[in-house]
Amino acid sequence: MADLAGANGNRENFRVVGKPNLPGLTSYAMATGVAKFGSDFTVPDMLFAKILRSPYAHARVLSIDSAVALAIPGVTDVVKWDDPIFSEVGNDPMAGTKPSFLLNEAHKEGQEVGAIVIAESEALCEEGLRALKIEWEELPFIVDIEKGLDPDFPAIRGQEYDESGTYGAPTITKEGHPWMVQHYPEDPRKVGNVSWSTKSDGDVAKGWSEADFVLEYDVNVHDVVSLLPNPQASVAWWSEQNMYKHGETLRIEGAVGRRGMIAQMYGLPADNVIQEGLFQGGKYCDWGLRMSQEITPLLSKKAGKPVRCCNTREENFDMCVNERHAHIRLGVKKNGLITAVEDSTVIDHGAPNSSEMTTYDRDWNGYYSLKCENIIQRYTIVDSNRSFMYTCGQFVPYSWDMITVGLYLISEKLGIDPTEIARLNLHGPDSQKDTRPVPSFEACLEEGKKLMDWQWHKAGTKRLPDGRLHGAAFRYQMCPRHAFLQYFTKLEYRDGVVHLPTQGPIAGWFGTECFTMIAAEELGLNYEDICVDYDYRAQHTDEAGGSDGVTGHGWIVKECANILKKKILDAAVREAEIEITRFGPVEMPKPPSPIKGYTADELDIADGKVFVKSDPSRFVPFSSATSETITAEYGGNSPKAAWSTEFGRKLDTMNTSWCEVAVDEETGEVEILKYGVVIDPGKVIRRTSLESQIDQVVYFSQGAQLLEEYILDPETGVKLNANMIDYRKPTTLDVPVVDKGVLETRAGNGAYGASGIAHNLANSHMIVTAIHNAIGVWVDPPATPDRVIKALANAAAEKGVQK
Amino acid sequence: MRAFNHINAKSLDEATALLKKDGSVAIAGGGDLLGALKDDIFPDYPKLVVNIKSIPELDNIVLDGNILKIGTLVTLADAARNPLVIESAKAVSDAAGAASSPTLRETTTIGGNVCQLPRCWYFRKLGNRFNCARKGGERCFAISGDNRYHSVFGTGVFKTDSNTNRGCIAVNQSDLAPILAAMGAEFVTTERTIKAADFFGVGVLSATVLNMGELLIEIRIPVSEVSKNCRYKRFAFRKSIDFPVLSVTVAVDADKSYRVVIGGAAPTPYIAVKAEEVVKGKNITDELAQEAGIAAINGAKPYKENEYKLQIIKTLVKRELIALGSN
Repeated sequence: MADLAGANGNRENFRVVGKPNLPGLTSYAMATGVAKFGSDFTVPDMLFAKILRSPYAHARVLSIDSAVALAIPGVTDVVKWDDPIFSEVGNDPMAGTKPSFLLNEAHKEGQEVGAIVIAESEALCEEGLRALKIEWEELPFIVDIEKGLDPDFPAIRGQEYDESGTYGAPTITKEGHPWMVQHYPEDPRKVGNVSWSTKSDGDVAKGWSEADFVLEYDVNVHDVVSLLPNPQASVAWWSEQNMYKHGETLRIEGAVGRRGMIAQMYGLPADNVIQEGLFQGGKYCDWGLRMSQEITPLLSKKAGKPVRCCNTREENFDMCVNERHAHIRLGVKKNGLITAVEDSTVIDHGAPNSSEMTTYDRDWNGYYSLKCENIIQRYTIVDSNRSFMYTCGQFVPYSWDMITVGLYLISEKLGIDPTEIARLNLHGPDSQKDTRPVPSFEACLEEGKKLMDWQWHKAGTKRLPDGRLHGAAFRYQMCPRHAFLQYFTKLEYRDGVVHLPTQGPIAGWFGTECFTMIAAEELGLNYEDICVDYDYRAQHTDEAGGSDGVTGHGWIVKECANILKKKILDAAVREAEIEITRFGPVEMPKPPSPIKGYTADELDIADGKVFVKSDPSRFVPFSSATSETITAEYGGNSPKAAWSTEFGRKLDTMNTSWCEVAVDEETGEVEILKYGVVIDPGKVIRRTSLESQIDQVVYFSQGAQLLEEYILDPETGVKLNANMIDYRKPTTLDVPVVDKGVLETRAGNGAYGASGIAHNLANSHMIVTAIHNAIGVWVDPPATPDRVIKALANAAAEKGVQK
Repeated sequence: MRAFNHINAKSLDEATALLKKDGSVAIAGGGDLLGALKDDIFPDYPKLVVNIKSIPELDNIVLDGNILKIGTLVTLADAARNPLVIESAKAVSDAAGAASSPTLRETTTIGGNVCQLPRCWYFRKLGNRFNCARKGGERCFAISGDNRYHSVFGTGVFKTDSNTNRGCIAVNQSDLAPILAAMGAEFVTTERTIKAADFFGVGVLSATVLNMGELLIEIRIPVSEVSKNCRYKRFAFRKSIDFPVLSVTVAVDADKSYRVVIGGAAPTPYIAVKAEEVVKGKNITDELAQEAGIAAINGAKPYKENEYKLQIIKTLVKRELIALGSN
């Protein structure tokens, strides 16, 4: 990989990168309401669409009589699932194949099914939906995955659904998961609603023989809704104006950064799909494109008018992180060194067209950060009608906590500080056989201890002055990164200003601000000197794959900026040689340039000037260094990230998280007294973004462990709490300020050794581990007061103590 | 939300006349009704929404002799910060200031808070998905479903129009209801004056005993030792937004006659008579408070999912009595 600047890891002085409090480029628009989101687009003659949703957890539409609905003034059409128009649209390449775009079978309550009503208002759409006479066939459903394990329970999905998949990954067939069949042909094939897959590394039998004792524990992860803060809304319309290239043009707004995919679905050149809106609302590594967003172009085509389709808040509760129940056995030596890992997990496969990534992939598991190479992971995968289970950024760190809990339990058993157990078990930078310490981990560990005034104690042994029990926990993780993606950047010097053409919509992680800072750093300019041109046709995109992707993409920007810099200096040399200025036919002598006679290598750019390195008093303003328009392009990969290729078997930038809780044994209330993180993002690019990502992820983790739960009625499979009152996201009053320590070891793969932190601070079990440390009893998340009370009562009952 | 007609009532007479017609509902702050309309939870969608905010003189707070009068349209925020309320019935101020959310408290009213419909998730499910007993249906889905937030003190039994008995285990989650019950408040309506103990009820689309077209005008709180020596503790999972999962109100008069009222535990505010008997005429000690806490759950019949409530009630009654005793 070229390092044109030669300044990735060894640049010492930064003028722009890392500077705090630089404003976001779109912050003003968002703070003042100027920002226009999908639902804000109103187009003349616009129609509205609403999709029928299943009131049942699993049901088939046998017939729909739409006569009454169509008789309602203002209802213009009822499109049924068997309408030939659905054959005109392809599949979202990220969403795999489906038997048809709209089906007559729903696999979860609230799923789009059977029909779409188009009308002159949203209220009329709803009235039309209510007027449909629908013959439903209720089908067997599974919302309790234990029930799904029953081999006698009828299969809830047909083969046609098994062969569909999401995000390019094929799902299981009757023969099993294709990848697993190829690599692990000994796995049994699917039976009923259950399939299996096993992944084995090292010599597990040898690991057991080396162990002095075996530690067994359960880690239960419940469904957490991957909830976007704003319900999706998109509006689409077609034009025959031949504005771009040739043929019809599709304008779509509110489709969550998927212009290219929408183009593929509708067989259009990408440039014929226009998406000018910059704002899509919050999004946290949620790749789920809702049907309402994909289908508006089709409906618009059928209606011959613009069509808007909005989801309600309730409809937005449709994607979850998988529920999983892991039973884990660790072989452990007397000193706490793990020799074998056996993970038997039952996992909720969700409804068809769920993400397979979350179900099968386990290379990202924290086990591979251990010196122990003897690991077997057996997954039992159960189809269900609970929800779509989607790839969500939180998944990766979630699976990491199977080992967080294990390390904690070893420390409890041996009476050794868990940080020491972690240090003992963590492998070195290069491989699981590497016994050297990881510098980034060591630095984060020591800083974290100072930040928290870390004083470990055994479970149930520390009581606070107010009578509550005190607990503490720690976890580590490496910074997982998406830097396997290819990125492209184009910079342009035009009329004395550097432009960064960028495709919208913005993704919410302020990547463009980081890129602007990097470009300014390399070009010797200030942040505000770089002009970002938002243009949907630009190839450069804000969508970089999270903060980790931003740093990988940042490498590309850095390289590109240096190409541009060289071109500008070359042009400045040419410009300095020009002695005559022309205004049309008039020629005028030009004053001699102060940099005339110097080569590009002898020049540099700083403080808005192109100057002679050996004599900085000789300079020309950057804005008039050349009259040429200069472009620079650069694309490709950043240097490989350890995580992207080795998934924890190599370790570079890492982080530690810490928390202290107080537990009221009588009421079951848990209070987080202190939450601290010490992270090593390699190099801070934009501190504001980094801190807000930390806050967001910790907020998510606290909600998931203390409050949030996706609740379905056991009798009907219907969601009971799909609203912001009953699904308890924490409010700002509920979460403490996160104490942050930020280290810069420059050990990452992105620009200047940055790595970003991605989602690595999200966790499913650190807070509940601290609760165990307080009360000595496991409480599965969410550790709501009722669960804490139940767990304490059960523990007391086991001990024969009357509470 | 579906279309409906909307009238700004100019007088109580006009409002009550309109509200006696089928398909009409009253709106004040809208904290309860707007959500219900948006979610389309009613079996029959209201045809007419009668705005009573436009009726003058219903948003006053006055001290009339030893009676604190709070108009039905007083917002929760105004009740929370009113000096008369703080001085003579601080627990009312505390509860009003903790209910709902900071923004909603500025619009939602005292009347709405005490008359609110159940928060049961079967009752509130969108599109009237569960046509439960409380909506005129045949069964309470929570009894055999997920009842973790439901009653631990039995079923609210009521008769339907066809004189059939129905039961519901949804709880009353009003922040103010238990306090007003503890303070012996009276509810003045367009038809009568009702004692707090008799005001709350269980009926089809109703959490009070108000008749069709009958409007709450004013709440009257006797200012006394009880109203001044009253403590309110709400137990919710979040610090804002949440309705109380449980609440405990304790109060005491000069003769050491105690009131212990529990909210969120039964279909109406639950007066823990056994707990009151334990402490009657006595100074509160830790042991006595603990005994009262245990007595408070005497007779409870929790479901599988909500037994935890008993532990919390026991604890909160104990702690609040101790705190009351140390005042």
